[in-house]
Amino acid sequence: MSVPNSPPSRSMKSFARLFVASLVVVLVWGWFLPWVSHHRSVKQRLDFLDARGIDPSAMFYTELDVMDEILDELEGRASNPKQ
Amino acid sequence: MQDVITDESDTASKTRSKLSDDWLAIGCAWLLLIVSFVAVLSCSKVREPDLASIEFIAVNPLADFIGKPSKWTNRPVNAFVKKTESGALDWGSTTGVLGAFIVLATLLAAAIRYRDGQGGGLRFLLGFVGVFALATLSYTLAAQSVVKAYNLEYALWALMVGLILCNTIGTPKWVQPAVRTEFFIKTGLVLLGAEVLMSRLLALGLPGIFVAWVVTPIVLISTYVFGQKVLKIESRSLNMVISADMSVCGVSAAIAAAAACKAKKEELSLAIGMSLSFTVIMMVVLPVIIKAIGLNETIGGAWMGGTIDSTGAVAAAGATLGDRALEVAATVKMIQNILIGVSAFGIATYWVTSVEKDPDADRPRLAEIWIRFPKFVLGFIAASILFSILHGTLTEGPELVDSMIKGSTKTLRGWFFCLAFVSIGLETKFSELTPYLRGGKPLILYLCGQTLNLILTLAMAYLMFGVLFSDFIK
Repeated sequence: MSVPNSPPSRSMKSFARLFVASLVVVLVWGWFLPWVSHHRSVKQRLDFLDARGIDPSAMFYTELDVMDEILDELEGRASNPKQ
Repeated sequence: MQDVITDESDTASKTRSKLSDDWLAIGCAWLLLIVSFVAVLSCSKVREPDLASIEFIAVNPLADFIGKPSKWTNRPVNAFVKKTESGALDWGSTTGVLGAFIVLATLLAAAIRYRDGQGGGLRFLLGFVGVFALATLSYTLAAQSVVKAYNLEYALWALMVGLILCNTIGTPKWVQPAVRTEFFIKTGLVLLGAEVLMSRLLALGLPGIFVAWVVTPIVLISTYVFGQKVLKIESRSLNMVISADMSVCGVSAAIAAAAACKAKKEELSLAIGMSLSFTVIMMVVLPVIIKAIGLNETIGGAWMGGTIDSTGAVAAAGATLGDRALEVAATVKMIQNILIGVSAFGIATYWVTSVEKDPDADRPRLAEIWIRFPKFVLGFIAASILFSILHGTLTEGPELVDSMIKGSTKTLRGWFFCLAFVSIGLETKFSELTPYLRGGKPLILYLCGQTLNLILTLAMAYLMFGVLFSDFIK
């Protein structure tokens, strides 16, 4: 027979779940990802993308720095100082 | 007299309360576009470094005050403050985030107050502090170098952050008045309209048009029809959102299609989750396949540009093959990006004239079409047309429009989408997502559609860049 949770214990469970989820986020972003980014192959890839002005998480072409260079060339413009 | 004034003010307030999210979104987005463009126009200057040459310098004075968390690798705090080479602390990102908060909080709270009254505006403002804080956290998670390098866009983390809160302790009551998914999405989309510059359509000439604008609609329509006739997917909107994000350009197309066909938030979440997962696989696998089969860089670039969903992932995959592949891939994807406007308009029109029409009536009347039509699409198209004209006709149009986009509107558009995905997460229980995963039909639809996309795009890229316009390669 299951006993329904009383509101305080449900609330404790909810906060415990939030705590666990937050802990996972902190561990992954605070330790695991920085550790991975120092691996040689990963670092090489990050440097390679940086050097070319590529952000692989760009959602639209206007978010890609490399597009400036490509468009300047395709549209026959010299690179202009812009802000 | 007092009575008359009360009556008039009641009528005005009733009219305002009828103002839909669409019109409110159009108003907010256009105000941001106009202010940004005027700011660039008034601060830009002409310089004459010597007698023979004149240099135009486009300056966006808002650029330093509107930003988002920066890329970081080791410490999340670097998303907000960085050490410069001289050892001083650079607080530029913090200023940018605070500036974006002030602009958005002021504008949106004023808009909500205008429509819902003073109480509504204040409740929104209080809740907005919470939603914006979660959006900032999402952006910080998305700004980690490795996360960025594998195309795991902020939309994913914004959804995750919202979902975690909603499915553990629940969305706090004081945050709920600012959970306005539709309003954020529509405002972001109208701002995006200014980035859809038709004048860039011919950047690769006819071959680019054929790869990006002929194959893409064929794949979109075929996938949708396949989902309806063969897979018999119950939700037409889910079918459409998956078809659009897979054939056009990933997350941004999914957002536009979902808003145009009034898809449910769970459907948009599912489509984006699938698109991002397959994009990660394709950006790694496609360059390997192209190298293995010895495909020419230009054809390979066009193939990747037409098939990999996300814009950033296309550039990353193209760069792996070489500079030429990067150039062609990124440009084909840019031309496909421009298709967003046409596809959103087409989907919205199809929806109101065919899907939502009265089954007993032969043809829906124009008035009915107008009532049902998502008006934000008009604001989106109008922004695209106006800024395309400014970009194409003014002598310094490209500099002015690019400076406006890069300095302010692009960043604000990103915040709107991020706020929208946090809101979706805050409104979604995991149990609401599971029915969509049963039977695996969405996955089958995506796989079949992407297979068709890969075959047709390769054939078209080969025909255009390898046979008909082979000079292009040389």
